[in-house]
Amino acid sequence: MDNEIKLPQPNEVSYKEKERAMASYFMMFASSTIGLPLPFFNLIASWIFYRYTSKTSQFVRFHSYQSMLSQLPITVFNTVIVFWTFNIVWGNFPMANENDLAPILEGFSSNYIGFAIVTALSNLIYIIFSVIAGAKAYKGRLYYFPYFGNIAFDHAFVNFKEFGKDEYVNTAPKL
Amino acid sequence: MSRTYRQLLVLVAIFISAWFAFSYISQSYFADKETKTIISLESEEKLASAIHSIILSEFDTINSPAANIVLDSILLRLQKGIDSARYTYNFTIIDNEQLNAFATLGGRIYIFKGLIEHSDNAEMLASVLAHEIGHIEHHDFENRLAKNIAISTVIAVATGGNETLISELSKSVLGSSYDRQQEAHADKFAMQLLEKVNIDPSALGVFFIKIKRLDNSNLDLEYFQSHPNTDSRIEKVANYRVDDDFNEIKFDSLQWNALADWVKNDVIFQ
Repeated sequence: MDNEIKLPQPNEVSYKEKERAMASYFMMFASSTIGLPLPFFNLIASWIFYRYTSKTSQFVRFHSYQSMLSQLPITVFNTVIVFWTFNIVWGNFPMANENDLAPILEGFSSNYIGFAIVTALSNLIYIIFSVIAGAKAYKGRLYYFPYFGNIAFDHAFVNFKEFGKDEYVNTAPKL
Repeated sequence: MSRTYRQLLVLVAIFISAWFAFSYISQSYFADKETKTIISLESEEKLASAIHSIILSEFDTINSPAANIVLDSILLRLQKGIDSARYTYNFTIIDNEQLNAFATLGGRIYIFKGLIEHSDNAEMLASVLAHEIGHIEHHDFENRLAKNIAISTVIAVATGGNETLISELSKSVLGSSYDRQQEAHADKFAMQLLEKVNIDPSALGVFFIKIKRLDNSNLDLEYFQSHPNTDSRIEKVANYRVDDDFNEIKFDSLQWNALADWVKNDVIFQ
């Protein structure tokens, strides 16, 4: 199946496409800084970017879709940890005595700490993967994340009708 | 597509196992910190004797063979439920109306007469003693002592060794209370220990409810003041579930009633 699909090669990808593909990874650094207290902000930004660029080329479509998909679990983790933390801190507020931090400290259970470490590691791995993917995209290369790479590949190349194909309504007369 | 699902499964498995692993690591890290011994058994015993003599100089104590029989039987039963057996628990009765009990080092527990007076039955007193044993087993007093010594040292250096200040600070170790987390852990320990030695853990909850009621009648209740947040503690006891095969074995009520009568009429201690 893969052999039948014609994949864009670096020399066929325009400079603009390379830039857009790279931007799909790097824009999350900017968007997450802007929307720091709201972890889902960068996901929205990513979706908007995908919506407006995915139709320009398959190469950009692949990278922006992969970037958006891979942000999903990270966003979920970050949202959970932010709300969990707020719940612990505000749930035990106001405190009976201003020096009594025990209920808040108790709230930071081992499950919470475990989840926070996994979230931090996931973010780190995600950033590393994104930087590599962004750099590759700038060189006109495809780079596959585990799992998300496969879905994005299917989305951009396998289950994809060429741009404007639906518009071929004029056909030869039927015999 | 099957490859995609396989990869998804692997990612989910990695996430779940990493979460469990880190939760386990942080749990065991904090558990280690909690039960860590900071002094040897020998030094602990020496320190315990020194503290004992300070307590004897501050309070009158009661030595009554009749009371000892009842209290010994309670402590002996609780001791049976402790696996580590680092200490042989012993008690001293303090002749004071305060509703209180506290533990220091080396398995020494101090029971105020007021606590015996206000306990409805042997199970209730056992639940308070189990809580104090929890503090001993978790080395709470040692940690509090270490913290106070550290503060005293800093202040001693800062003030150029003001002796009065240092001595006041040392006394404050006995007066200060444990933090809420230490209390919560001691409560949990008490409930598990009580269940292990066939005493109904709800006795601890009944005790909390009782001191809360007594507090509303404006009695001077030391125990209540040094053990804050009674409502959430009652709730935790109420939520504790004993095993299905739990079989309660009650203490000899005749013995307890005799002790309670003696205490009430102030006969035993005269």
